Amino acid sequence: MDVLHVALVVAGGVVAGGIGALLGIGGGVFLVPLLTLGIGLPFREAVAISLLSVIATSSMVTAATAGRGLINVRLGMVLEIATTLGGLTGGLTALTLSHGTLATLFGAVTALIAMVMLYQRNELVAVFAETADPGWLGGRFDSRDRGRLVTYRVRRLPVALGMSFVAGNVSGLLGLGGGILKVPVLNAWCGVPMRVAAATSALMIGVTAVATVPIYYANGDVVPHLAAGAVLGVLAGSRAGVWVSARAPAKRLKLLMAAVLVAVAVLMFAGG
Amino acid sequence: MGLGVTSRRSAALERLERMLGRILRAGVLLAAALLVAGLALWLVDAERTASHRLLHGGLFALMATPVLRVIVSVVGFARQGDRFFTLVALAVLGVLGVTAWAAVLRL
Repeated sequence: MDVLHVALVVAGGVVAGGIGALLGIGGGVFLVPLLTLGIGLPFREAVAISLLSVIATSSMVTAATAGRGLINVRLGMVLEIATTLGGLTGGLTALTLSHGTLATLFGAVTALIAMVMLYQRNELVAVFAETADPGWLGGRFDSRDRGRLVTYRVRRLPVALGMSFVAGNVSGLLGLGGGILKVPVLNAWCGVPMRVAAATSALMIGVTAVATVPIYYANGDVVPHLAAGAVLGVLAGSRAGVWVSARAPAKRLKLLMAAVLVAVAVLMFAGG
Repeated sequence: MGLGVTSRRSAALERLERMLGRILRAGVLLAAALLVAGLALWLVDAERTASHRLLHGGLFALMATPVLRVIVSVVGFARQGDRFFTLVALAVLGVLGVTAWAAVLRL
């Protein structure tokens, strides 16, 4: 029985890791429902495992996309103050909430994000000439969609910070990477190109998860052999995901993300 | 502010990024090795003490990678003389410290 559980968790990790790396969202959105609905783990244990696999995804994707001008380290660092505070808050709050409450919350958050994603779908970010000033947080990157080097600036930083804090809480409460919230907001409202938003978010979710998971660890919510299985599965899956994501155009990434979220929300509402 | 200054800043940032990437990859590989060993042992070990030690070790190594990454950023920003972002990165490290402290308290 135990061995079967490990095998299931590994398989789930591969799927979650693959799609997570492709979309820069950490894969928790798949893993938590699989662990709670599929294997019947208590919510907190599932969240703890998911957070650990989020760290794995984050580190793998970041290692693969580093040095290509896609990760905005400065923006990430500023937003991480907000996400880590959110993660700490969420992790502590989760200690007081029941399984049912958290499952419902999970479904609600996922449904909300799916709606936001579907509504925001077709926005290309405003960019400037290669020689323009990116400001203290913006940057330059090689835009595949436009075929040249472009400059972008970060707008509405308070919105990004607020959403980062919320995303951190979501991460701490539900085990989601939080990138699900950050990437659409950064792209649609803050002027960050989709690929940069995804890469920077992938970097941030790992730090956010580390701001929460010690609380779960101390509470005894980490099942080591299952966590190991999930992490190893996610590592394998995210390798494949990174390979595919380098070849997919930005617009299709957003469509895929919206479809994924709708499916997950339905599942969690039905089973939570 | 000419293009020369900005591209020097970009080059330095890119070097920082690549070092982050290397550190993360090394950390994850170490963690994975420990987890594979731990899981393999877990499948055969009846007592489960040694395997648990390996598994927890692997998970701790995994948790250390983002922390290490933030530390490297602190050093990187400090080296570039960027006081503001050095402080920002230190603040992030501070929050991570608070979490660790909260966890230890519960233990």
